[in-house]
Amino acid sequence: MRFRSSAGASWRAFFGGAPALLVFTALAFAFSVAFTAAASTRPHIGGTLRVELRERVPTLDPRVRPGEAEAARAQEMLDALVFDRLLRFDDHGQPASALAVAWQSENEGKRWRFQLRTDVQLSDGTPLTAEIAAAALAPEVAVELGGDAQVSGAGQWVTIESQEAMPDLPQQLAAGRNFIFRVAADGKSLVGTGPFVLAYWDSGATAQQDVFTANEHCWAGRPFVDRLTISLGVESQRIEADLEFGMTDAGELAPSEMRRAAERGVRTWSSQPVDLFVLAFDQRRPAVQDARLRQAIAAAIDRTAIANVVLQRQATPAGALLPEWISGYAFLFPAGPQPLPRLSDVAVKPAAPLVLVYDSQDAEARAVAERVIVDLRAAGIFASAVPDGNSSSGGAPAADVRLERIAIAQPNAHAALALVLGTLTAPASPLATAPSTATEVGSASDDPESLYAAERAALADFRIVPLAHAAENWGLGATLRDWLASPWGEVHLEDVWLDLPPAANPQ
Amino acid sequence: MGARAAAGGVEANPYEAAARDFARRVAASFPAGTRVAVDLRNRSTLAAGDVASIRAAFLGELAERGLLVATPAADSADGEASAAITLSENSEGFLWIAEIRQGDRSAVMLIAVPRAGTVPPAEVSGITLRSALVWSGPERVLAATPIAATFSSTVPAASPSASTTVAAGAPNILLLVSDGVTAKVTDAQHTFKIELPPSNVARDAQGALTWSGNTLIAIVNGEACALAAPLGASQPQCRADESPHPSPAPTAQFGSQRADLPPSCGEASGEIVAAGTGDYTQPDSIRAYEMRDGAASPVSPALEFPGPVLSLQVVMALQAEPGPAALAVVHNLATGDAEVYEISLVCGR
Repeated sequence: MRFRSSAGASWRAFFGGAPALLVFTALAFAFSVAFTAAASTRPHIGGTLRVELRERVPTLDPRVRPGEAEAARAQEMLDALVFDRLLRFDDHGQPASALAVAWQSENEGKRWRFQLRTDVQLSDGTPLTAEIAAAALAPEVAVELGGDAQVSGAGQWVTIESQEAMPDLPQQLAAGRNFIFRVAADGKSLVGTGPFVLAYWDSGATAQQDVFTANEHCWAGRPFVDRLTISLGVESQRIEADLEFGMTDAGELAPSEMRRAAERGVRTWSSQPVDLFVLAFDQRRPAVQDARLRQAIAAAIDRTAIANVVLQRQATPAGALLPEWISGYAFLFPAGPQPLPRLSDVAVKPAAPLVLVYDSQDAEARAVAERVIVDLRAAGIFASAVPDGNSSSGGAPAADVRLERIAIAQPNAHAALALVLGTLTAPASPLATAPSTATEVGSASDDPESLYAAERAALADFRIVPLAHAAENWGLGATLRDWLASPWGEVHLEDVWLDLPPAANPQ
Repeated sequence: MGARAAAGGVEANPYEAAARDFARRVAASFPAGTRVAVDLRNRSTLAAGDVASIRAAFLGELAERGLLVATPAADSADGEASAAITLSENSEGFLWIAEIRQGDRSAVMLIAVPRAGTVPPAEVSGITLRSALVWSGPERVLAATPIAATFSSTVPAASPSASTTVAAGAPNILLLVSDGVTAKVTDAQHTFKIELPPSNVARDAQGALTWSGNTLIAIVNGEACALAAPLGASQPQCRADESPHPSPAPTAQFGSQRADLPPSCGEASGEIVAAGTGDYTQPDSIRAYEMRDGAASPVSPALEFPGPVLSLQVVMALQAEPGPAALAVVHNLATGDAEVYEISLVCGR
C-alpha cells in the first residue's frame, strides 16, 4: 500500500500539552524585523484579464468532448477555470493535492481511495461531498479505465476500483477531463470549485466571447483579477495585432506569428516542445502492411524541414515519441536523414496513392501533412493528404495513415509514454487492434532503461512514425505579470495579475 | 539533491560518486584488459567544472577496473570496443547514457542522477555576499528561521521527508510551509501543524516566523499563531494579526523584499540586503546596499538566484562566517523546489 500526502511526506502534528504562552504584544516588533513580502513585486488584485484563443469551444461541459484535438485542449483549459480535479501536477510533474488531500492504493493497485479536502464549497455555496465527486468522475473514469471501473463516494473518501491494476491513476486524475462538478437543479448547468465562475457563455456568436468572474469562495484563494473575458475563434494574425496595440492581455499564437510578434515588441512565451506530430499507420489496411514500405516512408520524411520551415522553428524534429526534455534519451532515436530502403524490395506496393488523413480544423496539421506528401513523392511514394471531414463523409477513401497531434500534457516520462501510446491504441485509433504497448509501459518500472526499452519496442515496426514536437505559443501584454504556465503548457490564469492602476484597467 | 557549502573549503564534486558507479557498470561490459575508446559528451546543463570532475572520475574508475582507455580516433577500426557516454538531462534530473559497442554487440545503459544545488559566491570589491544552500524541497515555503539552540533539544523527532534535503552540516532551521489550508512549521525532523481558518487562504500567501523569547510566532495571511517551548507539546494559539506591519514599498532599485542588517562593515546605519524587482516568473538576485544621505547605494554585485526570492529575513549567522546574515527563500524555477539560502556579508574584501 502506498500513501502520499500533498508533499509526499509523512506528517506528524503535535497538539495538546501546556498552552502556549501568548506574546502577541511582541508581534509588532517581531513582524517588523521578520516580515517581508511574498514576492519580488507583490501581485495586485483587480481588473479584467482579456484572453484570446484561436479555437472555438462549443461547450464548457467536460462531459462533451469536441472532435478536434485542439478544440478539446482549449475546452480543457476553460474547464480548469471553473472546475478542479482531485489532483494536480506540481512543478515536478508529480501528482499533488487539489480537492483530494491524500490518496492510497490497495489490493495491488486495483483499488484507490482519495480523501477529500474538508470545508470546500462549490461556487453556489453548497459543500462538496464525496458523493458529488464520485458522480462527476464516474463517466470519465469509465471511458479511461473501461466499463468495469467503479467509482463511489462516502464520507470524505472517493473510491475507484477496477479488475485491473491502475498504477498511473493519480497521474491520470491530475490531467484530462477528470473534473469535479455538480449538475445544478436545471439539469444542465454545472457548478464547480475552481477559481472562476462562468458569468456569460456565448456559444453562437461569430466572435465568441465568454465572461468569467472571480470565485470569492475558492478553496485555494480567489484569483488576482476580478474578471476574465475569453474571446474564442480569433485568427492568429488578429491576436498578434491585438497584443501589439494593447487590445488583449494574452493570446495564443500560431508558430507563424511568433517571429512577427517578437519583431513588434510583443512579449512571447513558449512551452517546452509538447505537441507530438506522429504518423499512425492503420494495420488493417493492406496497402501499408509491409514494414519495409513503412520504413521507407519514415526515412523519406524531412523532419528538420517540418520543424524549421513548416512550424517556423517552434518545434524540434522527432525520432522518438517523447521529447528530449521529458525523456533525456530522445537523441538515441535519430530524427535526421535515414538511409532509404530500396522500394524494389517492398513486397506489397500500394496499387493506389496512399491516403494520409489529418485534422481539418488544425492549420499546422494540414501544413505538416502537405509537407509529408511532398517528401513521399520525392521518394517515389505517391500519397494524398485528406482532411478528416472529407474522409468521414464518404467522399474520400479511408485512411491508410493518420497524422495525429497528441498533447503530452505532463512531464513524467513514464506517464507521458503511457499517454501517447494509450492515445494511439485507443478504440478509435488505427492501432486499436495492435498489441498494446501502452499496457507494457503501464507495467514497466520507472527506471529509465525499462522506459527506453518500451519506447524502442513501440517504434520498432514503423507503425508509429514520430515527426516533430511542437511548442505551445503565447503572446503576453505589456501589463501582464506572473505568467506561471508550466513547461508542459498548462496555463494558470488564476495566478496572473495586471500591473495597472485600478482605474486604468478596461472593463 | 545535495548542497555544497559555499563558505570555503574544497569538497568532492557531488557527481563523482555517481560517475564511479556508472563507470563500474560500463566496465562490467568488457573483459579486463580491453582497449576501449571512450567518448564523453555533455548535453546537459552541468557546469564545465562538474563535467571535468565526472570525466576524471569516470575514466579513472575504468582504468582501475583494468580497461585500457583510449580516445576515439577517426580512423578507428569498426570492431574496436567503444563506449559513447552522454551526460543528458530530463525533467526530473540528469540522465547519463552509455552506448556500448564491441564487435557486433551493442547495448545501451541509462542511469538517473539527481541534480545537486549550487550557488557561487559573489566576490566584490567592498563587501562580499555569500550564499549557502541550507535546505531544499518541494513544499511551498513561506518563511524560514533558525531553531533557537536552547530549544532544538526540546522538540521530538519525526520521520524526515524523503524528498527533502538538508545540506550536510547545515543549521537546524524551521520552515513555515503552507498547503493552502494549514501551515506547517517543519524542519527535516520536526513538524508542527497550525490550523488556519479557510477564509484566510490566499493565492499570494505570505508568512513570517520569528522567536520572541521562548515563543515561536508564525504569521500567515493575517493569522498570528504562537507556539511555546517545548514546541512538541505546544498547542498553537492563534488569533487575527492586527499589528501594523507595512511591507516595504518596492523601489526602482529593489523589490518588495529587503532585510535591514545591523552595522557590520563600518557604516553606522548598517547594510540592507534586497531582492530585485521582477515577478514570480523571473530569476532574482540579492544585492547589498548602504544608505547614504537617504539613498541606497549598492555595495556588492548582485548575487544571482535561480528563481524569485520569496522571503528575506534577518538572522544571526548560522554556518558561514560570524556576523549578521539573512535567510532567503527562493523558488527555483528550473526544479520547482523551494530553496533556503543563508546570505552572509563579509566586509573588506
